[in-house]
Amino acid sequence: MIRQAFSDLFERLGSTSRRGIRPATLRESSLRSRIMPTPIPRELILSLQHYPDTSAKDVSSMKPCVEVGEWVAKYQLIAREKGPNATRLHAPTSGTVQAIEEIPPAVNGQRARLAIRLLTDTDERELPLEPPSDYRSLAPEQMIQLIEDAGICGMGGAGFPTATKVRDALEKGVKTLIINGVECEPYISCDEALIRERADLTVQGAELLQAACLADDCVIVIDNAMPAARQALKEKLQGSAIKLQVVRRRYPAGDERQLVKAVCRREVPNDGHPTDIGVLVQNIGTAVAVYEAIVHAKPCISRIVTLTGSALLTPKNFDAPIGTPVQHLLNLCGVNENQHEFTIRGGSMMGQYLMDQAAPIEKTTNCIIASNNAEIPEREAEQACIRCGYCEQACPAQLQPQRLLASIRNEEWQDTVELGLDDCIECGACAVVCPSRIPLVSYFRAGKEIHNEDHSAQRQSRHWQERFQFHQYRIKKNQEKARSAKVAAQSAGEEQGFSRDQARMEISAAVERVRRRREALARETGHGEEKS
Amino acid sequence: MATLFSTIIAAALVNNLALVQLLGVSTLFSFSRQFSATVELALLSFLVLFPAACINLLLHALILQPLGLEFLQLFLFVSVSAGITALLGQQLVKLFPLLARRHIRAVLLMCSNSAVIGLSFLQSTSLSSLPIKLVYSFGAAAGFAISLLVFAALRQRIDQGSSPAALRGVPLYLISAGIASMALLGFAGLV
Amino acid sequence: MTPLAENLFFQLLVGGSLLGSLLCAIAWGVAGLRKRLQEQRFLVDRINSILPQTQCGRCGHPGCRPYARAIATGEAINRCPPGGDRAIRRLSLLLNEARVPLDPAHGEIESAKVAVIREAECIGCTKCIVACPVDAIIGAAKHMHTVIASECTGCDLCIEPCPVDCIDLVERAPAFRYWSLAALATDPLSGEPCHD
Ligand code: SF4
Ligand code: SF4
Repeated sequence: MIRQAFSDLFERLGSTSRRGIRPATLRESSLRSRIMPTPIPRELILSLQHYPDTSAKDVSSMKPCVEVGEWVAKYQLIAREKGPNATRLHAPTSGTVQAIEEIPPAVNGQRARLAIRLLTDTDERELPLEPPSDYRSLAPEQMIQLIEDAGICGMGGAGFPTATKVRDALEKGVKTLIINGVECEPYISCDEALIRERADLTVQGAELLQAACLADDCVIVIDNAMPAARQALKEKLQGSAIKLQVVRRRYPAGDERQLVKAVCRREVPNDGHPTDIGVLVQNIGTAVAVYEAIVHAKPCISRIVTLTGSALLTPKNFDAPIGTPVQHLLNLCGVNENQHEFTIRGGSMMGQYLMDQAAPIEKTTNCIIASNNAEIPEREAEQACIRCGYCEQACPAQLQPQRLLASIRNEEWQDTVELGLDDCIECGACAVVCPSRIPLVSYFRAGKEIHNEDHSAQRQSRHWQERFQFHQYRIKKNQEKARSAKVAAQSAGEEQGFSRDQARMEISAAVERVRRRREALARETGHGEEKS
Repeated sequence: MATLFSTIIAAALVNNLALVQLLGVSTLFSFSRQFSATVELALLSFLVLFPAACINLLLHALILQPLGLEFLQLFLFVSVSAGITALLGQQLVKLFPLLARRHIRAVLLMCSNSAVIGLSFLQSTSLSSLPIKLVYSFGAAAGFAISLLVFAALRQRIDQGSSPAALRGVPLYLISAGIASMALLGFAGLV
Repeated sequence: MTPLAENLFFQLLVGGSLLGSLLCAIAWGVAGLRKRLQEQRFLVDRINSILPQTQCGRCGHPGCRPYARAIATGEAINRCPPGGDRAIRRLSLLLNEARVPLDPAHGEIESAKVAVIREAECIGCTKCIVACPVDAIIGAAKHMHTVIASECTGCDLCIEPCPVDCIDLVERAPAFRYWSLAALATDPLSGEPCHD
């Protein structure tokens, strides 16, 4: 009680809730209509590089298990994970595999990656699903297996495989499960639309997730700018043990760490995950997908995507099959070509410019913004830092962006580590408030990139050091062995010296052997000479 | 007790050795850009300043003054501080190889540091009682260490800020040292 | 009305807090000292961890660790070409020394290299295996040899012994970098630097 009062006081006094920024809400236009089912496009492009890790070396993190020319049914498994950081992929509809080839990168900094091109047919013939007879009596491990089979990954944007996360949470033991329905990016409305229209699935998904990770309690967190969703959730939550919490709408309140702090009033250690303090955070969209996976055994083949921006005639949310080309969705909304200058994938704060309109919707794509410079201005020339301190007030991670900037510009990497560059969540709040228009967050991303390079170089050099030490050890051991062998040979010689007869016999035998060999050799060469 | 307190404050802030009395200013400029290394250095200079000043004052009060040998004081002060520095240096190399590698030049510099000598001189001529003098040396040494730390942090920012090419480096250090010493003058009304 | 300074309570308060803070400072100092003492013992290790571990010997020492030992006792820090600027920078921070350019007597800064054996020409003499400081070459007498690229430090020690000169040093592909600090500080419209 007193502790609560104190932490409330401290929060009032400063740290999180006042940090961050409050951008304008631009969600209304896309929320005017209901979620729209997407007509199946002619071709689906299913990227095999699932994890949005731009530094990944491999062109794919999944292994296709279909062949070119093969016909696949809806829900059929078409690719398996290669490593721990990937999920499975299922066919969103029936059709023929046209090609398995590299597609160009969707955003800057990404590499070319492998994808399956699926030519769809109109019959939508599906594999029969085999839902568990009584999903309420499933053990946690069975539920997690179902989640894994369905290929679900975090729908919030990071895209970490949900099964791995839940399993980890189950092993470590979590107290609180947080379902993240906070939407802090100005444009994205897919979570709000989802709650508004499928609140019952959300709640049931949350319950199932809670059962899967054996959390003591579960909280659904939404922000205070979504009244309709709040109403819907409230109705469905009646009589349920799940709590509803409403947080103030600030950017980046939906960030995992911010959310944990707002709900549990505890900070996630800077080198750890929320599970380290007994918290598991899952996105709303993930909860719904989990519901489908456990109750209907339905794999994750579609997701809700917001299409918005001033260049669209009718912005709306789509229930789009994974692999739908962005262009297809844009066409469905109607594009005002005069106004359309660029497309952004992701939100206007964290998103990136889409380079290829034919790029597919992936499991982590939550928003597509078709816009122009007047609405979302591109980068301007930066001015000198005037040390106004606005960035420092905005930073939700409580860093000092201006000092970080100075040390990155001067390439003082030691200082950047001490100032906490690795704790920057790259939210971009500092860059938005900076009156000098300094693209602070870009500097921090650049700095992190160099840090990572440094780390891998150091790992490499440690490895080399170990090998060098082993090399020296090996040489030393070989020398010792040779020496001891010599000593042994000597002492053996001495021992045998006692029986002269045997020695004499051996010597004469050896002489005999050599003589015979020499003769044979002479014969041979003589032969050879004769020949030549 | 209150006198002790105000003596310490006076020594550390109002009459700060480095920034107000301008003794041992070279130390401020010649040392590390890195804050963590400067912490070591500040400790070190405290460890030289305080005992050296104490020993000097004691020798002055107990030996030189009774015997009327005050003309020997410079000789005495220098040799005491050099001796302490040499002893410390030896131990340093043995116990703290990294610190010794980092600061060996600083240690050598400190043996004839004007701060040590100046502190001893000023106090040997002051009229206050011996205990007060000793407390004053404590405060002065602490103040010196603090100004080292403050200046290291300051230097870090100066080096990283974008400044006109003509002022970069030592000119800016000097200017900021001037401003810092003016700021310390503000403490004059405190005691 | 006695002045504040003669008030017994005030004196106790000031004296107590002074004494308390002194004790705290001492305790803190001792704790810090112990930690530092432990750190200090590994001076050579810390220097060694900054060196790139190519074991090429271009600094004039047989391997990186001997050079680290030499640095610990006062040798110049700018003799490691593979470490380049970055190693000098980090050493200068660790040892509180001036940042100096690389000593040209020991070589020039180059990008990372890797050795490649032209396998058709290899005669299987095993001389390169003996020379390699990290056992990155595999092969047997009279059989073809090859370099394990991921283990090769690019130290060039195997080039010299090869009797048929079939080992090449090629550049390693540099790590992919998306961001560039220089590009960030340029005006996107005029293409001129924003400052200075
Ligand atoms: S981008 Fe990093 S430094 Fe800037 S506000 Fe966000 S967390 Fe703070
Ligand atoms: S907001 Fe911009 S100008 Fe203000 S202190 Fe931060 S970096 Fe400098």
